[in-house]
Amino acid sequence: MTADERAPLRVGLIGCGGIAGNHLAGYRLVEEAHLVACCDVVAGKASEFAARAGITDAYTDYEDLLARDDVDMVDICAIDEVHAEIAIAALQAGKHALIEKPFAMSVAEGEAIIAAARESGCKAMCAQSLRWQPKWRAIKRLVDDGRIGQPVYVRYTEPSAPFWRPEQIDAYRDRAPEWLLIHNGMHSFDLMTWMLGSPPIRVHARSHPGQEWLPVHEYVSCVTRFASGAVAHTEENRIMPPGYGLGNEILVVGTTGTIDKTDRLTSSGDISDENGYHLLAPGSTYTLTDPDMPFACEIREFARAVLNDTAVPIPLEESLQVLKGLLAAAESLRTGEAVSIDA
Amino acid sequence: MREPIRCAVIGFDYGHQSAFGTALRDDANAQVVGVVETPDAPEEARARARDFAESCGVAYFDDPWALMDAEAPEAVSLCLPPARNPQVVAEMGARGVHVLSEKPPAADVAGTRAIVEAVRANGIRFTFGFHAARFARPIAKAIGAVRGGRVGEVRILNGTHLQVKGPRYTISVEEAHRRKTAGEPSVGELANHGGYVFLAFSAYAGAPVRSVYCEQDAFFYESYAIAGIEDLSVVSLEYANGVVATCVVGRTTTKSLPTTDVRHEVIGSGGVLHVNAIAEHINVYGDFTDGDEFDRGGFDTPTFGPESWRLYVDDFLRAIIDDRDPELTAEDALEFQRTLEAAYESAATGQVVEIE
Repeated sequence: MTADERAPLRVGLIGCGGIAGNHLAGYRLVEEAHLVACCDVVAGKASEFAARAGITDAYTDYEDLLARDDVDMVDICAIDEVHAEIAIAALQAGKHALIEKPFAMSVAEGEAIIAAARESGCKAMCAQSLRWQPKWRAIKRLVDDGRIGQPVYVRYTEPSAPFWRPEQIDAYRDRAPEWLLIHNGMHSFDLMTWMLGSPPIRVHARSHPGQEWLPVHEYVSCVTRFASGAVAHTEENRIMPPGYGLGNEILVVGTTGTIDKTDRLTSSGDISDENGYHLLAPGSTYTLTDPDMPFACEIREFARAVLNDTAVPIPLEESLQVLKGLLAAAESLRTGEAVSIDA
Repeated sequence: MREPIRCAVIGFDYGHQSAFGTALRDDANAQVVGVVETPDAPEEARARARDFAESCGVAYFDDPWALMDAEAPEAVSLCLPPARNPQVVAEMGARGVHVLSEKPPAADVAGTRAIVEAVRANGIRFTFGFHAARFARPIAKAIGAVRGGRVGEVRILNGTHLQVKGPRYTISVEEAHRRKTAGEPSVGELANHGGYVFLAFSAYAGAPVRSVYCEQDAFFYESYAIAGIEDLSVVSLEYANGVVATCVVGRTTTKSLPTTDVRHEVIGSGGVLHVNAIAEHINVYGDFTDGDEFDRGGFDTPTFGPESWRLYVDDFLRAIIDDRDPELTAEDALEFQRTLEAAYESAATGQVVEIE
């Protein structure tokens, strides 16, 4: 049976808050996978999401969703702490699993998901939407094409004003200071690992608490050495003053040139290399002009891997190495020491 | 009205003495009274010193102490090997002579501490050559804004200082082999340029560094790898008041950036401040050839550069006149040297280094 004959995959989405809305927008652009059911422990959230998605089946217990024979794949958008539990249950139920980042909260959880995928024969992947953002893909191509030689230093930051308000204290009261690092750092650590084509091997992290009422530290700075020798500086930054909009910036210094995408007001960038200094102006191929949004791309490519029985674009083993780097950074925050990362 | 301060200019072998000497020569508060280069200096350095003496219409000396005895200057601009500075500053202090010293002020913490003691024991004024850290006009404005509370309580600092002048300003492979064979100490780009970031950061943070972590390597230049020195460092700092800072300092091979890539970000509780050397230039984009490697015609540089030297020298002279400390003090030199040595120790050990 060809992929076309089998398509689309029937998807159950689990966890209907926050990022699920981005995934829903993605599904609207994807032919290879369609939402057929959703689930959230809060019944109102599930039914509201179902209405937005134009589906009728909304559950409050993911086991009920997994029991359906007509669900091929789950898309796990629940809170970080239950990703592994749901992913393992889904894989054991014979469902393919696209898992929001971070796909696990510990190395043991990550290894258990990998084992469950292997035993079930189903595919699983950590959703890393940044890998499908056109600007990062353009920069990755420049790096891979050798335009700046060997990349040796990368700085990535995604600064924004605080996400959290005092009335949300109940949701964060029990969260550890490193929660933002683990939750959002999966983006920056994965982007660096992908950009450099090399895993992290040592990390040191510092943090600033930010708002006094919030247990989660709103700023974390990580200095990470990669196996290639390159060094990255990444920030998880929600400490900017009120009114500062969300943006992201990257600076890649190579042995023969520099890529600079640090103008946070546009999606353009510039590159300095042996051929000169070039402004990559808005409207160029380096702007966000791709009609496919990153979430649609990651869903589509995962679905195609399932339908064609090919390798997923981001192997879980690679995501596990990224997670090890993040967990080492969290340990560094707790101990104040630099932490080596096991291969 | 006070008479101009009588100044001697000592040493032209390396560094920015031509700039500092010229700034002294042109400053209404100073009068250059003599110029020295020692006999053991290369002929090129002695020629530069003789030319400068001639431009000032003053005598050229081979021996600094002969100049000191003959002209009795009130202040000197030193550009000597850093290891010699502590002893020279002590002797200058004993004579009551104020000192403007090229960077780094000494070879190590012990030498810098000796300078602090000599400066304070003798009541002289001392400053040192990381001029752009406090006097490049955008950075000076940023420091003024931060000290004036424009961003509220400072929380986070980020800095980039990537020199772009390429291999012309590095040591050759042959020189690297010679130094390695001779066992001569050699400093990398963090020692060379780290002060430009650290000393601006300390002004923003308003507190001493208490913890340092550093990753560094010789990424770009074969000669640096041979000599065992770094051309790029990423340094993570924490200050005694909790400010978290990270910076990259190095000399890349990227040929076509219009100027040194200097960026500072100060994130406070009430605002964010950005300094960007490239953004503050007028960039003209056009064809670029290899022959342009060191001649970046088409780029105007209105904000960074020579005026920083003049402002730095002028602050030193006014500090003498006003009987106050200059903006960059001997204690700042000690803070810089301690941070620098901690960074090198961290890079060598892979561990965080705490500063008491």
